[in-house]
Amino acid sequence: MPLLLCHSPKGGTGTSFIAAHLAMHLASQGHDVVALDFTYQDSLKLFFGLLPAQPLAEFHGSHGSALAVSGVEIFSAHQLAHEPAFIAALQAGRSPFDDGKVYVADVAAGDRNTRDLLLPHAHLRVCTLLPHPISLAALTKVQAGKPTVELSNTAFILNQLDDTHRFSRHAHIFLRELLGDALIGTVRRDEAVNEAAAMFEPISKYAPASAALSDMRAVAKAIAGRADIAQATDQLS
Amino acid sequence: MRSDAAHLLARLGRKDFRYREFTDNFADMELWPVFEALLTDERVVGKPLSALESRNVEDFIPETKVQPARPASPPRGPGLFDRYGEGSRPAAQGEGNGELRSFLQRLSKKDGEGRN
Repeated sequence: MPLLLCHSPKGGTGTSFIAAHLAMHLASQGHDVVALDFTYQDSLKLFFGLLPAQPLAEFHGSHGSALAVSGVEIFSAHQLAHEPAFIAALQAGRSPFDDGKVYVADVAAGDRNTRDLLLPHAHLRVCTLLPHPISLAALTKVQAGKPTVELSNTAFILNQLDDTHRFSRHAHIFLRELLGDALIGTVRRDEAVNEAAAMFEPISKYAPASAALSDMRAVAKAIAGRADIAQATDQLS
Repeated sequence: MRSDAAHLLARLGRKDFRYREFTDNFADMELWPVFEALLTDERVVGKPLSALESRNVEDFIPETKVQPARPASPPRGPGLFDRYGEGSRPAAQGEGNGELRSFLQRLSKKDGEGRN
């Protein structure tokens, strides 16, 4: 079940950006990757260079016909997350993710029900933070009932890091000390991310030298290692 | 100069680029109140601190209330923004920050032990 659950306790931190580039990196490494957009906003596809009007197929198991971009099959899963049969199956421990593919789920910050539904099936939760006080304050809300520093299956990414800003630097140092190895990497603030999305182009095409893209590749590699993706897919295929 | 910056300049064929490196090490980190709040929140760091750790945290928290000396501002005449305050800054590096560092280091060590 290599399911990577991308969810942040605070919205607007770049979770969809991280999910999309994580999926593209894993696909570039030869994995069969499925990206599932569980959000109502339907914005994951924009990071693949798709248009807002381009519809995604609903996910009903990986045998459906999906749009494939950069080697990643992309599905909408927002409706699926509210279907009683799907919910019952996951709650009963039956996972639709046990077929050797790597699933990357993008879940909206406020959708705790879907997060809680998927979390028991997730290989790793990927939690994106910003070097902003409001985002850091949401560290109190990562998971009810368990302290954030004790979450063993969660990797944190500090996104939009800008070393020219004092608080950004200090937040990085603080999180490195607080989270230790759970802070799996950082992604620099880079306007190329916005510009590429505005052009409906993947960053790899619009700005191949992008600092954020370079950082994201390093982060994705670290996540693949942390989640032991290669071993997980070998066991299931 | 960092190798990536040097490589970039070489690619650009420039030698006279203005270069500045923005780095802080742990000793330079200021104790922002949001950091304090997180370090004393059970939802982030777990069970309440031991008596010793609590005392150390209390030791450094009051220090943060003291505003550090700031360089004198240049004299200004009456102006549009005079009624606005200058805002407070986080505590500068000081005695209290030493406690924070030691606390963070203890926390980091404890966290590492817990994960293994």
